[in-house]
Amino acid sequence: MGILNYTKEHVDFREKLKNYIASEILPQAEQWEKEKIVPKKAWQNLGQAGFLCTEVSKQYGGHGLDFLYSVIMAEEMVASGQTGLMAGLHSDIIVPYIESFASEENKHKYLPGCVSGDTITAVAMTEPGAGSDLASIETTAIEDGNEVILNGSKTFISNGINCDLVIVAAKNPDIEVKHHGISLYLVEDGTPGFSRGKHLEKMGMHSQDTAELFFSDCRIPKANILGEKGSGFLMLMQKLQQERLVSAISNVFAAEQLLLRVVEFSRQNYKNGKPLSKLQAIKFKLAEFATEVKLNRALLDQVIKGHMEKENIVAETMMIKYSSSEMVNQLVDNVLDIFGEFGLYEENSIAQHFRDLRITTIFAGTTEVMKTIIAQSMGL
Amino acid sequence: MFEYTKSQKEIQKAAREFAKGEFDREKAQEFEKTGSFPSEILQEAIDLGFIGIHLPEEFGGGGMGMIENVIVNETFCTFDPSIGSAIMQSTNGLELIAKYGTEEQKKNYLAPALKGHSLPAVAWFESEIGTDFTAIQTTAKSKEDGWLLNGKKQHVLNSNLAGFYIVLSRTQDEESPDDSLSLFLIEADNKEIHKSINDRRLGNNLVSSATITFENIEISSDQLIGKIGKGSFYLKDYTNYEYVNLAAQALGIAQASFESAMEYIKGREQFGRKIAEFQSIKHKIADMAMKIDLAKMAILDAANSCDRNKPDKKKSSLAKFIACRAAMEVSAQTIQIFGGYGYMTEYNIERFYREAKALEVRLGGWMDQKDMIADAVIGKIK
Repeated sequence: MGILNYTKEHVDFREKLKNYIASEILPQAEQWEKEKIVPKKAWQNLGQAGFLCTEVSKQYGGHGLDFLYSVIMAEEMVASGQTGLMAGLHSDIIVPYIESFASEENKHKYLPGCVSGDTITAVAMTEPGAGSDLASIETTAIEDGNEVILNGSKTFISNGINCDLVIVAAKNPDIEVKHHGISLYLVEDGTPGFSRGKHLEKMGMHSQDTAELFFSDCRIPKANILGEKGSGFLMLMQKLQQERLVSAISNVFAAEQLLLRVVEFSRQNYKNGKPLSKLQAIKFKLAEFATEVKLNRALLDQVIKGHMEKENIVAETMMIKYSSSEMVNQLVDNVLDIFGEFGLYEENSIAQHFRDLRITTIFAGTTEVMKTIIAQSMGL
Repeated sequence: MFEYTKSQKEIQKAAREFAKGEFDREKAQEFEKTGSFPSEILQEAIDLGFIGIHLPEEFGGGGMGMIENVIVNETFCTFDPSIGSAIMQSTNGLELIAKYGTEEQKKNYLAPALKGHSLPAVAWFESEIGTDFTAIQTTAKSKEDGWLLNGKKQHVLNSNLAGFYIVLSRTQDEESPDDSLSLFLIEADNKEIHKSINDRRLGNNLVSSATITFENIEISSDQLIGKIGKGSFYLKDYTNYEYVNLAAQALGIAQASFESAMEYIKGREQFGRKIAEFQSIKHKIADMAMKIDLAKMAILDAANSCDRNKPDKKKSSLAKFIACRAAMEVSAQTIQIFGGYGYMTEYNIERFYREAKALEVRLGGWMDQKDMIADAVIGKIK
C-alpha cells in the first residue's frame, strides 16, 4: 500500500539508525529524562554517526540525501525513549533556514558544525505575548553601523539551553505593517547580551531543554541576517510547512507504535479469565484505531510525496498536522484505559507517551491555527 | 437543576472557605513532585467535620448524606484537584464498615478513622482480574476460631497511612463465585504483611500506592465484616458510593480547569483582541460548561439514590463515566487554550489533566462502566 519509494539504501539507513538508538540512546534515555537535558556529546555522537542534517548538500559538508531520510529520522527517533535529542527539529526544521537563506559565507561557517553535531541549533520565534499571533513579536533589531542590536525575550524555545546557534525572529520597530518588518538573524552562543532564562519545567518531554532566551543589547554582525531584511515573515511561512510535516510524521509513527504495543498488551493480559484481545469491545476499539491510524498514514504519505515533488500542498500539510496530533492523543488516552491502573506507572512508559504527546496539538502551530489556514485555502 | 438546601449551601460555603485558605496550589505542586501526603490539611479537615460527612454521627461522621459528601468532594477538588482528591480518598472503604460492620467494628475501626487516628486502605484488586473481583486468588482458609490469610493485592492506595486494611478474600470454594468471598479488617502493623511501595504514577501521587503481600496472617472471627461469603455483595454495593465520590472529585477537576480557562481567556490577547472574543474559544467554553453541568446532574442523581437507600448501579456507573470523561476533556481543552503555558507545570493545568486520567482508570475504565450500565439496564428488561 505504501506509495513512498524507499530504496535499499533507505532501508539500510533505517536499520542502522534503529541499532544506534538501541545501543546509544535507549540506555541513556531514563537518565536524560531525570536530568531534564541531553549532554551535548550525544548530539556530537549522533552527528558523527551520520544521522544529522541528512538533507544538507555535500558542498556544505552535508550528506546530500533526499527527504525520505528525514522521514526515517522523524519516525525512528519517536521510539528512542527521550525527546531531548530532537534530531528532526535541528536537521529538518531549523537548519533548512540556514541552507536556504544564509549568506554563502555563513553557510560554510555554520553548516558543517550542524552536520557534525558540534553546532546545535534552536529557532526563537515565540514570545510571551506572541504565540499563534507570530506577527506580533516585540523583539527588536536595530541597525547600528555594521551591527544589529537585538532586544527582547523569547520563550518555549526547544534546545534552548544546549543551542550553540539560534535563529532569532526580530522586527524593525520603524516598520508600520507588522508582517513586513520581521527579519531573521543568526546569533551564536556566547554573544554578549544573549542569555538563557530558566529551563522550563514541563508536563512531558522532560529530556528536552526548553527554555527562555533573553537578548539585551545583543550585538551581532549585520551579515548574520538570513535572506532579505523584512522578509522574515515570508521565510517563516515557507519553512513552517516542513516543520508541520515533520511533526505529523512523528505523530503517525508514534500512533503506529502505540497500536502495536496495545495489541500485544491485549493478547498477554487477562481480564475475567480471558485475554483482553478476546473481548469484543477491545477488538472493535482497536479496529477503530487501526482505521484512524491508517487514514492518517495514507494522507501523510501523500503529503510526503507531494512535498518531495514540490507540489502545492499547504492545506493538506495543515490537515495532516492537526489530524495526526489529535488522533495520537486520543489513541494514547484509550491505550492508557486499556492498560488500566497498571498503565499509570511511569516505569511502563505509556504514561511518558501520554505526557509527551499532549504538546503535539499545540507546538508547530496549534490545531486552531491549522484549521484557520485550511479554511483560508478553501476560500473562506 | 435543583437547588441545594440551606444546610447544603452552608456546607458548600464552609468547604469553600476552608479550601481557599488551605489548598495552596504551589504547595500542591510540591506535594505532587515529591509524592507527599498533606497530613496536616487532612487533620484540619477532619477536625472541622468535612471528612465522613455522610457517615454515622454516632461514630464521628457528619450524619448527613452522599449529596453533602459530593459537595465536599467537588468543592475541595475545585480548589485543588491533587490535595482535594488525596484527603477525600484517605477514608475510602469506611462506608463498608458503616453499612455492614458490627457495632464493635464501628467503634474500633470507623470511629478512630474518622478522628484521623487509624486510616483505612482497601485491598481488593489483583492482577489479571479486572473489575470482576470474583476471580481473586487471595484466600482466607478456615481454621479453629478464625482464618489464615494468604495473598497479594495490587494498587493498594493509602498504604503509607493505613492503620488497617479492608481485604477481600476467598473463604469458600463455592459453586457460585458470588458467595465465596468475604471482607476482613486487618491491622496494618504486622510483620507478616509485606509492603512494596510502587513508583511514581501519572497522577494521584499524593496518595501512596503499594503491592501488599499477606503471608499466613491470622484472622479472628471478630475481624470478619458482616457475613461470611457476602464479600462480593458488599463490595459491589460499596462501589456505588465510591463511584459517586470519585465522580464528584472528577467534577471538581473539571471545574478547576474550567475556572482557569475562563480567567485566562479574559486576560490573554492575540491578533489584537482578547481571545475570549473568538467564536471557537467561546464554543470551547460552551462545550466545557455543558459537560460540567451534565456531569453534575448525573452525580447528584446517583447520590440522591444512595441517600434514599437505593444505590443504583446504573446511575453510579454513569456518573463516574460521564464525570471522568468531562474532567479529561475539559482539562485537555484548557491546556489547548493556554497553549504553551498549558504544558508548563507552573500553570497547574497539566497536573489537573494528569489527576483526571488517574481518576478515570480507577475501579474500571470506559469498558467496565459500559458493561455495568448494560448489565443494569438489560437485566431490568427481563
